[in-house]
Amino acid sequence: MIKNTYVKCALVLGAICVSSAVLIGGLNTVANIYKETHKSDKAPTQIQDLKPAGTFVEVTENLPQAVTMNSTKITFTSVWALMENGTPVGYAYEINCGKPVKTEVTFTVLFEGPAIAELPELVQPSAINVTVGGDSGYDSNVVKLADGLVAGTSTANDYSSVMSGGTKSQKFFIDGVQAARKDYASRINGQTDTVVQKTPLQDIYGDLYKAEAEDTSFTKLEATTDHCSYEITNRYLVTLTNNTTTVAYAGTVSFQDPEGETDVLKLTAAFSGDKSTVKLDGYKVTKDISWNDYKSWMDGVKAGTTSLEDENAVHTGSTLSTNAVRDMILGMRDAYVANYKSEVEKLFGDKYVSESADEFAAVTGTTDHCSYEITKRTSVVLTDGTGKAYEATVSFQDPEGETDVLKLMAAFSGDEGNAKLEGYKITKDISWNDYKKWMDGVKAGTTSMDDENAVKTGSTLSTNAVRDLLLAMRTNYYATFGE
Amino acid sequence: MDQKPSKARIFLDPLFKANPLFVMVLGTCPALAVTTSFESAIGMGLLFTFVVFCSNLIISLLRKVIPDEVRTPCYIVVIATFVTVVKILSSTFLPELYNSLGVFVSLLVVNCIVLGRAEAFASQNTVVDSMLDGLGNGIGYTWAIAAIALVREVVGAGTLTLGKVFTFIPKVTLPILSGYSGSDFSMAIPLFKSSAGGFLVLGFALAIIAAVNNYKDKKAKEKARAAKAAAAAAAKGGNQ
Amino acid sequence: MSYVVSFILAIVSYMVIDNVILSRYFGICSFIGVGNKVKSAVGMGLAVTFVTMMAALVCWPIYTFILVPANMGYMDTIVFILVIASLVQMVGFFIKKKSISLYKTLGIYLPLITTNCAVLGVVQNNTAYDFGRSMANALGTSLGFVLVIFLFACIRVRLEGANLPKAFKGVPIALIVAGIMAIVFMGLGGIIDLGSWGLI
Repeated sequence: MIKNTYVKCALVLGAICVSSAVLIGGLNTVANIYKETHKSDKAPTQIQDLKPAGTFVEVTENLPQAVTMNSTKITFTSVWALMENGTPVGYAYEINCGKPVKTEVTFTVLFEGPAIAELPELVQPSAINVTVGGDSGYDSNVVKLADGLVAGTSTANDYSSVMSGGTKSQKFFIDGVQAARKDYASRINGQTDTVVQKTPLQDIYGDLYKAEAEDTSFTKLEATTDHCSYEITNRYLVTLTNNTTTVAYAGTVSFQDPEGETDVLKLTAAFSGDKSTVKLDGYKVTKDISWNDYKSWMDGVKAGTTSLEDENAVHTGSTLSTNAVRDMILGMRDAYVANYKSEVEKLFGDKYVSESADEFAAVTGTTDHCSYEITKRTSVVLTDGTGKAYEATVSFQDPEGETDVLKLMAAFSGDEGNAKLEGYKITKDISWNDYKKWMDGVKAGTTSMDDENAVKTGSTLSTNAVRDLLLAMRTNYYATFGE
Repeated sequence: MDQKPSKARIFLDPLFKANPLFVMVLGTCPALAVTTSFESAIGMGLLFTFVVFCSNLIISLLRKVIPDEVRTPCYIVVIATFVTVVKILSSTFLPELYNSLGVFVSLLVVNCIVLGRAEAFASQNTVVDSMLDGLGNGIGYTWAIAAIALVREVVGAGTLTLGKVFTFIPKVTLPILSGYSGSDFSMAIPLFKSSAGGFLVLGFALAIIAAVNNYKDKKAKEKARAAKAAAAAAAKGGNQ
Repeated sequence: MSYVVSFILAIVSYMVIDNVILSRYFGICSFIGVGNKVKSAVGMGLAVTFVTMMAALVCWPIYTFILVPANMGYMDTIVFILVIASLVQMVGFFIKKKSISLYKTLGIYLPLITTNCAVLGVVQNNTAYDFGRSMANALGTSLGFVLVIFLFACIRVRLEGANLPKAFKGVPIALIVAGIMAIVFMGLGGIIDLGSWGLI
């Protein structure tokens, strides 16, 4: 045997270390392979235990986001659908409520059966499994609270069922249950895009809806009437798929009901049309009241069968609530009118005073570059004079031999011989963009309409076509001075 | 030098007379940490038995090869190897147990019992004897912590939950001191579930065992005295 | 919240509120065996502190920068215990050279630090934390260890003269005292909520 003890020690220790590393490395690899091949399809025990006989399928899309509640931030670890004959009849959630002190509160909860999306408070859990109830010593009260929720003896609507001893853990737990049932209430009703909650405007316009933007320049409007007090809190600009824009308002109205209670209703209403013919496109209630009759009145206004102005039309049932809502809708309508800018007004901006449509016979023409038709002319009174706005269509052949059709509105102001392009709006666009550069140059004054060489900015074909149209419009504009 | 104990003695002693927890008072850290749940304690006992059995086996096999100067590091590496093996196996096949035991699986490496048996027994005895010793200590420790866990869970939580860690058993919660469905009746003492309760339960358990042992000693002493007196009387009587 | 303040808060939390012995169950064997000599108890506590700090300082980088990138995370237990064992050996040599009397006082306790759950427990838990938090954990844990060992030794000195039933003498009463100490420390729970300071 080896005599030198140091060498012997090193060798033995080294050999043991190496064999240990090999053994463990090998075992680890085998274990990983096993884990891969035995990936269980079954739900994890904490979910399966909620309903041992049930079939759970994990939900992988449209998962709910983490949400900050009163006491804590709730994270959804996983969501499982309870399936029966291929359709979900319930959902189970794995919830993490965060750490009240040292240890997290985590639980799984199962909800079954139908629910009302707007009323998550009515959702009752069928089973709750508290996996970790916070620090030991406090967790038994969390479990008691969970059992109470399932039995119906405790409530998750507020903290009134919290027992002394681990109140923080119990509050975290209740927040988790609230978050879970809120998601359940919408998910079971098929509104799986709970990640992005459908906005009221998406609801109102449905397929016509394209986009919305909140008008941040809007200042809250408040008013009190004989029937109620209301606040109009937000204004939204809605773009529809046909490229028109409408305006919607969100407001809150409160009134005293016959029992002396104050009822609060929140809704969003969308309007369209011009100043004299405002139309209620639709409405969506975001916080309801128990009285329903105002809805039939609003539906009548929406359909056009009931007039907003007619205060007698309100006799459809509970006049108290309907009058309150009507007052707010009138307030919204007035705000809409006050804010309304016609297309022509938008072309002229701040200069605009008023407009009137001209009796106008369509003017057509054909040039080397295009053929055009000027369809409408509006006379406009401005702060510094007068102007005219035109609507027209121009068509031309593109290099591929296709006919491109462009519709636009253009606004002119200034004296004869000295016209200025105030603005333009494209109502039907083409794929070529360079004519816009040219038009912007004319509007800014850096490009002259008369300069045919200024057109060499790119796709001269389309720009020449538009230029010819504009020249025709200007000619007509000058002609009006003679009338 | 004592007579070499028989194989039966090697196995049976650690179960009661030389119980590693109750008599030698070793391995107390896991005995307090994992005994809040009966199932976890049994699981820990199983893992412990595996480690002490295998390490005894290997160390006994290598006892002639390992030089004395490096014996402690070598034992530690061997034990650490088996602890890591047990970690990998339990995280793969018994993940609930692994999660509920947490860091205490790794701490089996520094468990006084494992190292103690390696040092005191396996390094000087045959492989078969060492295996028996490992088994005996393992089972002895397991039933000891299971007993503590049973008391702590039943008195602390009021119920006995099975099937939570060993998932092949259906989960059942037996109400004993509380948890009767539909009633708030509870005689549970939550203190027992906390760390303080652990100390108290183990302290009282050891006190009880000490008392029992004292009583046995006392009786044995009296018996010996009586036998001596009887022998003396007999001798006296014989002399007459 | 400044890093220094949060560091200090973490240390206090690990030292007192989540005390290593009374709350986390580490280091109990040495705790019970410490006997009633206050001086040797404190000495042991300081030795454990030193070993824990050094071990944490060495093991965390090894784990984070060597084991994890090499996908050898499962070797952590073995590597850690080897580091700790060697550190204890080195500390032993050092003390032996510098002060034989201290070495003699510590006696058997020195090699026993290797098997002290507290050291390996701290190092093992640190794999989940960042460096600052792991050092706070190490320091807080060791200080908590020293604190409890010191208090406990003082109490045991008194216990020596107490009139106890025979069955309770020795380890049983030590455990019961530890239980009462644990109840006292339990009252401090939740004072520092590391989570609300964003430290968790």
